[in-house]
Amino acid sequence: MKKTKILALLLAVAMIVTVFSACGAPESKGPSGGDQPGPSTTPPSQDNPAVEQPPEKKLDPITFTMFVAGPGEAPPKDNKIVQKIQEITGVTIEFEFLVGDMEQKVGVMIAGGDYPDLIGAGQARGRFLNAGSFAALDDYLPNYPNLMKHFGPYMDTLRSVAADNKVYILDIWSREYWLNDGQDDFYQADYNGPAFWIQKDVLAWDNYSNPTKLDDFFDLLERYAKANPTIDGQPVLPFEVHSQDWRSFCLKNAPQHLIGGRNEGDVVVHPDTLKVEIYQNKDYARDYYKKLNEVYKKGLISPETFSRNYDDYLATISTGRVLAMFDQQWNFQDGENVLVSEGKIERTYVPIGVSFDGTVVPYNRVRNEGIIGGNGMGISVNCKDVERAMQFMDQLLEEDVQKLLYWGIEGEDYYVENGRFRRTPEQKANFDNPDWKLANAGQVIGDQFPKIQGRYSDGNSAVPTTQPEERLANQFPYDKEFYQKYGFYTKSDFLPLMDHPGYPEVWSIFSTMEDDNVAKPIFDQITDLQNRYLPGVIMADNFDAAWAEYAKRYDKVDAAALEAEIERQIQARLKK
Amino acid sequence: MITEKVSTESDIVKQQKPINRNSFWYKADKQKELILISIPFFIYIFIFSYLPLAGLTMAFQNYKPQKSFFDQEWVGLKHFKNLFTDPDFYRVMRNTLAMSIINLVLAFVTAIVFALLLNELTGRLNGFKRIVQTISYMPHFLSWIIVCGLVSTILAMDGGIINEILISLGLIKDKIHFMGTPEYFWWIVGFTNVWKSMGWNSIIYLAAITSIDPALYEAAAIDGYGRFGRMWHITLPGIKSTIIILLILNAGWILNAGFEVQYILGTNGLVLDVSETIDIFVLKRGFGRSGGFAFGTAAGMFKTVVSAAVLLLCNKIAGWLGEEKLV
Repeated sequence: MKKTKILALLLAVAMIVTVFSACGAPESKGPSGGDQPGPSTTPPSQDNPAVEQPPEKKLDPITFTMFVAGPGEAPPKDNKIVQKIQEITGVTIEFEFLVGDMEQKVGVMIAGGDYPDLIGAGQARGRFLNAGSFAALDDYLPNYPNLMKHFGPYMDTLRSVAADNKVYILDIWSREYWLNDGQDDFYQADYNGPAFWIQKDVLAWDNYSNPTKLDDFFDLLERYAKANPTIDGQPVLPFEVHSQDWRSFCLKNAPQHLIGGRNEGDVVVHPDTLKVEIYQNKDYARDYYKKLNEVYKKGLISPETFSRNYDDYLATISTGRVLAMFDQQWNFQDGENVLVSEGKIERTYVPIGVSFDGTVVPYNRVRNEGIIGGNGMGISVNCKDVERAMQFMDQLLEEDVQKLLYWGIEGEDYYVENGRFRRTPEQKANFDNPDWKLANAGQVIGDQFPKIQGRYSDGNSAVPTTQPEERLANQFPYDKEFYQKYGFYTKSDFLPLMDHPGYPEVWSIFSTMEDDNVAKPIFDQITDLQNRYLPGVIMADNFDAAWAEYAKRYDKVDAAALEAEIERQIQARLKK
Repeated sequence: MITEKVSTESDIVKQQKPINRNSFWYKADKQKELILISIPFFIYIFIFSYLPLAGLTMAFQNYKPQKSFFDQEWVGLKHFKNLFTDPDFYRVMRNTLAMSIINLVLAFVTAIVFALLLNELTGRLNGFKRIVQTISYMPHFLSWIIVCGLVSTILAMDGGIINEILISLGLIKDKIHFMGTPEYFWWIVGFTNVWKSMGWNSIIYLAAITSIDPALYEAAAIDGYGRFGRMWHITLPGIKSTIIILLILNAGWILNAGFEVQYILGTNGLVLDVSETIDIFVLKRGFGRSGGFAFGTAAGMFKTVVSAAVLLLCNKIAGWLGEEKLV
């Protein structure tokens, strides 16, 4: 099954190349019939407005300030793409990225009413929304063709996050453009969500197994740790459970996936009935923590895992001696990057779709169903020129500008071969260097605003990393061989690709809830119970007694009210 | 010229006679330069210390930042009721008081003992004394984030030096999970504080000791007191009033058990129950997700009121003891 998939891809790539080299020109009619990609066989899903519209008259230069409620670094002023964007739009963006604790920074900003022109809402979307920090954009949007094309089909979704049903936040992610030529799946971004992530070397050592049963998974860790008590001279750490602060999802989110669910956060949603339940005190949660308790007693989990702060956690991962953990890949990426830069590819991780009964489950590998609402940026009520800001975003959405932001300048950052965007190893190396990228690439701008994801109308990928030729050409030899053993194309293929279930993820509903919503304190109560007591339960000598005490604490939690409220919110989103 | 001058002077003398030298306006006039000089500071204190007190009204409102002051909904003592019925509140109060008392006692005892010992280094050992003193107050200038990093590295199970030493000495068999054991947390905080501030705190006692009349020591020596006798009967009584003043000053901070140490070292679930202080509580509830500025303000206000009350009480007690009072 998997082998045919990768074969199909290779064939397709080969054919694109041959077709194009045979025709000699990218604007050839392309092959008729079949399911091959070709820019002209499928009607472009997006026109190129840059060509149609006459160049706008030179715009006055203007500077917008922007706060981004997430980590990042502002690009230097002499970044060539930043300068190009300035030439095209006349706009300079002064970024301020979040440093330190988000809740405090945002709280202070709200209390003082001291907003910049633009706000990348990030996880603080609910706080900003409830404080009335954003200008309503309903009346502006129709004037901007690119934005309208981008958001038109999703206006209701955009509105659904605000209590008064207006557009305040423009989503910056998940608006994907596809060509429906049968190739789209190869352009899917690599999975970086929640899963049981395990070192490639552990799987390779076990003859490239795929332990999707919880018991088998830990059994493998145990056997490997016994056979390899040290890695690079330091004792091996078979399983890490990170549990600090809001990152404690590593500690508490696994049970929902083990029964096959998507990442909803603190509840499970039954896909057919849309019934909601908290799962922290349920039997399947107990089974998971019982397993953790069991392997803790065997020494597979170090007690220190619970007192490591985030930096310690990353540092530990970067030593290459953590065999596996339940986590979301973006959360431990910084640690893994160190392993990559040191060439320890066999110590990097792949996701396993672990479940209780061994059926491979998708975790969060879900086909996007367009934008989810609330996941983006807004224009603040203090913005000096809302229309100009809208115009700026409209201009950014032109394909040529998007290519500038994500691929760079043709001839400098990439080259075009038969209509396909490619990069030389040197160009790729540049893009892989974060310092170079910050100083020379446009992604830092592109990431903060609505963008084209998926594929351009000419069939190329919206970002270099998902261009299939690029991906295959740049895979490490170790990875290539490793994935070939499984018949996979990338690490994502360890998880099946699931269709979107049609309702928004509950955590995203939660993050835009009003402050005085009944569900909020209950959520906080649950989170607090988990952060506070689960480590103790995992470390308990007598698991059953510890669990009983822990589960008893949930008697005080008004779970029914929480569940009813979430059910109501899901229904409300579906109706809109 | 001369005659004129004399006449004016005598005029003033004449006019001054009926004036009450103790009257407010007379004094104000006499000290107008001083008043002028103090005006900027008065304005400064008013703007930055008194004006913000208006924000305390938040504690009695259902405060929403987007509304103006007059649109806020007034809720009376609701937030205080919530505060006093919150089980977490009593937990953080216990932690705060416990850590505060541990810190206070340890800081006083160690600083005084250190100052006494240091004071005994005289003559040829003066150079050594100075080096010791400098080294001992250096940690005061380190930020808490660095100190906490050091502490958690030293106490780590995974290569921490304390565990390594204890094991190689054969004192323990299994490594101790210092940072994950609730029983140790308060003491870790206490001794971290000692390490960081002992040298600094002792400076003030050393200064007080130097003001003791050397003749007293000589007299004591002649009377047959040894080193420790002189410490006990001369030095300690000599710095008693300093100790009491500092005790009063510090008692006002009884609810300030610290913030950074607990925030940095105590965020893991294993010790959360014993690590949260009232400051962290205020921060979490005030700026956190489900809390609110109003509730946080109420908790902060409670802390302020208690601190002020304790300060006044200690001041009274000092008075009863026949010592100098602060206020």
